[in-house]
Amino acid sequence: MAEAVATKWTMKGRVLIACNCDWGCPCNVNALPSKGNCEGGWTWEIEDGAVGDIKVNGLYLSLYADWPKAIHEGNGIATALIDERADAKQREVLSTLVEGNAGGPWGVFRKTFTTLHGPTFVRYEANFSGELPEFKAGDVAECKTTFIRNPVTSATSHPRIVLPEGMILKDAALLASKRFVVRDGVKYDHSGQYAAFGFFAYTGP
Amino acid sequence: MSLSLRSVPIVTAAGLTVITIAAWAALIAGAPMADPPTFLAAWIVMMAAMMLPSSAPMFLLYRMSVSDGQRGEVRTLAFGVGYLLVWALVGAIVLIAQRVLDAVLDPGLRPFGVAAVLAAAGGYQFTPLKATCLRACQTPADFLVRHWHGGALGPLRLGIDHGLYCLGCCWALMAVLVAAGGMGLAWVALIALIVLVEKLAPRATWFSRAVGVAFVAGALVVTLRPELVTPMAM
Repeated sequence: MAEAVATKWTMKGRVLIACNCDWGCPCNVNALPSKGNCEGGWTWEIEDGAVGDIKVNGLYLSLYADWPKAIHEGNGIATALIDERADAKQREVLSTLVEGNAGGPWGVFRKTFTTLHGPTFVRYEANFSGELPEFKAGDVAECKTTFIRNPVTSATSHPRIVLPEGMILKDAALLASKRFVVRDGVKYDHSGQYAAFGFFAYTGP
Repeated sequence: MSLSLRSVPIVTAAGLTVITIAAWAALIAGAPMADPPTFLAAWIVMMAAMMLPSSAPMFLLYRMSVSDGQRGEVRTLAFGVGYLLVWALVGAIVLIAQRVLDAVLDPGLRPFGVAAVLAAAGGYQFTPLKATCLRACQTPADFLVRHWHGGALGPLRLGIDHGLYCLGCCWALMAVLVAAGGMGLAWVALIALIVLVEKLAPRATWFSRAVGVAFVAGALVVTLRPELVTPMAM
């Protein structure tokens, strides 16, 4: 694990969230996960970011975890993924961040893991600017999204959630996963469940 | 995206207001539309006057989602340029279509052309495509997060995307403006008002349908009483 650093960093872009919960995810409003346990995670598209002097614009970063109960109850196992297009310096600073050694949401999550696999460097094929966001991270993880539908009329539904205290994001479009699979470090397939998409902006440490 | 009084984009809000007032003033003063360049210029001014008030939430929210460090005003301007670029292209199409129709269409048949445009525009109000495009224009926060483009050309691309949805929403209304209204000031104001209500009153789905019914009724009236259509004042 890299040493804790005090280098100032900022990061903004969009994040795609998916987990095993029902649409909407009760954890957003501090309730327990739909099935009692949380299996899910995040892929961040860094539009604009810098750790000290090192720019990390345009890179992707993921964290997928498996907690036996709710996230805050800990004992989770997780796997971290970093965009293989990152050069040596970028890999170092992004590893430090995702391993939770420089604050931000990753610093909080790190306390809930007993094991953190990786980071693994993978090739991302992502489209976050189409009608619906999707990505594939090597053979390790993939997520495709779709609109939530009204069960009676089948009309698409477009709910949003505002989270003034949100740690990951403050405002998100609620979606459903059409496909959500993680295959390495933690393993699951929760296609058809909760997904959300929104802007993020973090600074640290 | 945090909402606080401090983050209200005053420059963007003031810019939108000034441009909108100036555009309406130019329309009321009456701009010449004689040759293609002046037609296009006048068309863009007309579009700015008609569309900026109802697009204001989109522009303001866009400005709020780009931070100051990224030259937010410049990016917002680029977003607006991309948006108006789409409508400028529509102006060019209108210009060409008018020339072609003037050349091939017997002036006596013009009322039936107007009726056809009204009927098509009325029908379009009921299509799923119209509903989809209108929803994108009614929910700027949702539109921005799902269509966001980063990088230097990002604002322009996002503006073009917004323009295309706006076109999907309003092309039929603009066809009515050109064909039935001859781009007269009263028609410009009427169509701008319809666009404003459609965008800013998302629960009033009955309104879009009522407009559709009115257009179809207009088509029937024009078919039965062709003499109501006066020669286009252009």
